[in-house]
Amino acid sequence: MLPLAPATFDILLALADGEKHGYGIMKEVAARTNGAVQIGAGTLYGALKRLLASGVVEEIERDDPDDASGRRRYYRLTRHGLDVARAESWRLAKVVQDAHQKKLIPRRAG
Amino acid sequence: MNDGEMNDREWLYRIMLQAYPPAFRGTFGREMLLVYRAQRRDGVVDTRYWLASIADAAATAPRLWMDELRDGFHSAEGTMKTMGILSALAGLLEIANASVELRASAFGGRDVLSQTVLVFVIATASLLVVAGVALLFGGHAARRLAGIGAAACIGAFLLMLATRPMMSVAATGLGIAFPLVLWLSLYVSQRRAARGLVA
Repeated sequence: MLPLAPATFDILLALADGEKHGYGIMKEVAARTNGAVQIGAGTLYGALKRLLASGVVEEIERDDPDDASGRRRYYRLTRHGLDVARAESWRLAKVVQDAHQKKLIPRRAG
Repeated sequence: MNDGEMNDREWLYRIMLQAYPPAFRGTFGREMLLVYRAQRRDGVVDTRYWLASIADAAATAPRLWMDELRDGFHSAEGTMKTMGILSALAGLLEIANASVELRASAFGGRDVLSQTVLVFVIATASLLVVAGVALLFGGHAARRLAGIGAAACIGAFLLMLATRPMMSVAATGLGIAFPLVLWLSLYVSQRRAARGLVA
């Protein structure tokens, strides 16, 4: 399953600290990256479809406080999903470590 | 832009959703619409938003269509619908071919046995067309009809080969090979369904 697509990893990161609905995921990613990464609805739900199918994410339905007419789907990481997110984080950490060793990332002053 | 004008634009978003495959829209269409409404409430819907959304749909919809087509083909229902379309087309082709041969044999003075076999080929090919249409609607009776149609078609073409090979090699091959493939796919999909591997 690894390496994950950047948008997929962003979604898993957004869900790492708790369940969210689709728009919640999009807002979390935009806020965490200071607006540098904006996930479109097609990208988000396309990725969620595949993550649901592979058991990385599961969905739960809840009443939507913003929409009195219906319920809304929330998504959360499964235990397997948490393992996948951790494995990808370790992989990326190793990549960053390698980049440091090759002096591609300047050391912070102080 | 006031709220009334904003509401008017929801139809545009709904049109954009049509770019996605039906099953995907069925599962996530409402959620995507809710996201759009929330973004509208947050005031982020502007020209740049629309350009980004259209680009996002153009980038993601083709893969989702491919996924859906692949999933459809791999499901028992999808396989049967594909075989239904192919059966109807193969049957129509055989009817047209045998009709031309029958007309030619009427002028060419061919024997009655050959003409009888050609009529039998047309009848069995018609059965294949009916079975193909039935497979599009699904059900156990349709599968049984398709099995009978395929067996009758093979029988008719073997009979034709035994009496006198009048039709082209391609048409004869199609008349025997296709029903065999149809039979095989009916058998495989029945086994898959029995094992509960597919819906």
